[in-house]
Amino acid sequence: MPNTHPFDGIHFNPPAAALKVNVANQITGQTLKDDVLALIDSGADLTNLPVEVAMNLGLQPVDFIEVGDYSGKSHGDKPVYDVNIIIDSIPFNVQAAETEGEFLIGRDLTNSVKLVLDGPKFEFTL
Amino acid sequence: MQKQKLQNPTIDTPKLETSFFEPDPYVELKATDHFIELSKLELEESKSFADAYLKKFEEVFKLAVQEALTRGLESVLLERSKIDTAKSLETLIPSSDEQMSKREEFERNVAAFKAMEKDLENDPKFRGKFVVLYKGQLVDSGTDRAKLLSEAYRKYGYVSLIVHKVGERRVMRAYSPRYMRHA
Repeated sequence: MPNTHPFDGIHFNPPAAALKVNVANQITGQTLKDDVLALIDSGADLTNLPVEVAMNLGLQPVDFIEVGDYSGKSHGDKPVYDVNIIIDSIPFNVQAAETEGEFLIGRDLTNSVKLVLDGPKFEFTL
Repeated sequence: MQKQKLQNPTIDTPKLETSFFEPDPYVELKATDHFIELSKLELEESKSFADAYLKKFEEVFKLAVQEALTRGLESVLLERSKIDTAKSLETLIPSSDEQMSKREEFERNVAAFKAMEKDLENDPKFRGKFVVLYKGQLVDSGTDRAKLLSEAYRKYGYVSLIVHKVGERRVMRAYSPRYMRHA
């Protein structure tokens, strides 16, 4: 069942497709006490998981990946974690790369759903 | 499964003072009308009441905030202690030493993989397969990633591992530049 969410104009200028999600440790089942804000980013190859979230959930790395930014600059190797990103109570199994920046929902997740961005209405449907 | 012992947060827990004021026959903290009247009189006649105790109020307020934060943190720890996990529960709220240790463990595994990468690529036994690195050692290999992970956790517990495909070089691009706006 698709859900419509408003763009977030508080944290992003111009408003962006962002929403509160939860994250689950696939091994322990532990989830975050509170949902956290994540930006849907079609420019991100993988979901980027903030290091604080990884720490809070006691995540252990399962792999590594080299991370490069928009300018092509490498930011070295980062841990990759097996997690469930929970959006509207639906868990999505992803291998998320650790980041010191924002929580980004990457194409690894969005390519498994129908995502419709309605700019004039400032809303998106997932 | 055994519940692991909670680790005490390394945070100072200041105690709130039970009495705001120095012993003073005229200004003693009691919830009485007499005190309230006295305070009103002081405030109305001069600002000496507030002036005299402003610094004290600030101190107590800061302590109250610190204590509330500490209690909040303690209740999070208590909540999490109810969760049964497999061996590595020390990661609940790791100390900076533990964070460093996790980071070091990860970097050791990555460095070990990179050191043996060329040899693995040249070996038909490992080429195109997943290899498992634990504590800087190659401990397993195979074609089924999920099975390899499951087996490794069964053997070693929930620990830092690298399960990497030999010959695969992935670079993750995360675009989304942010432009700073100055009002």
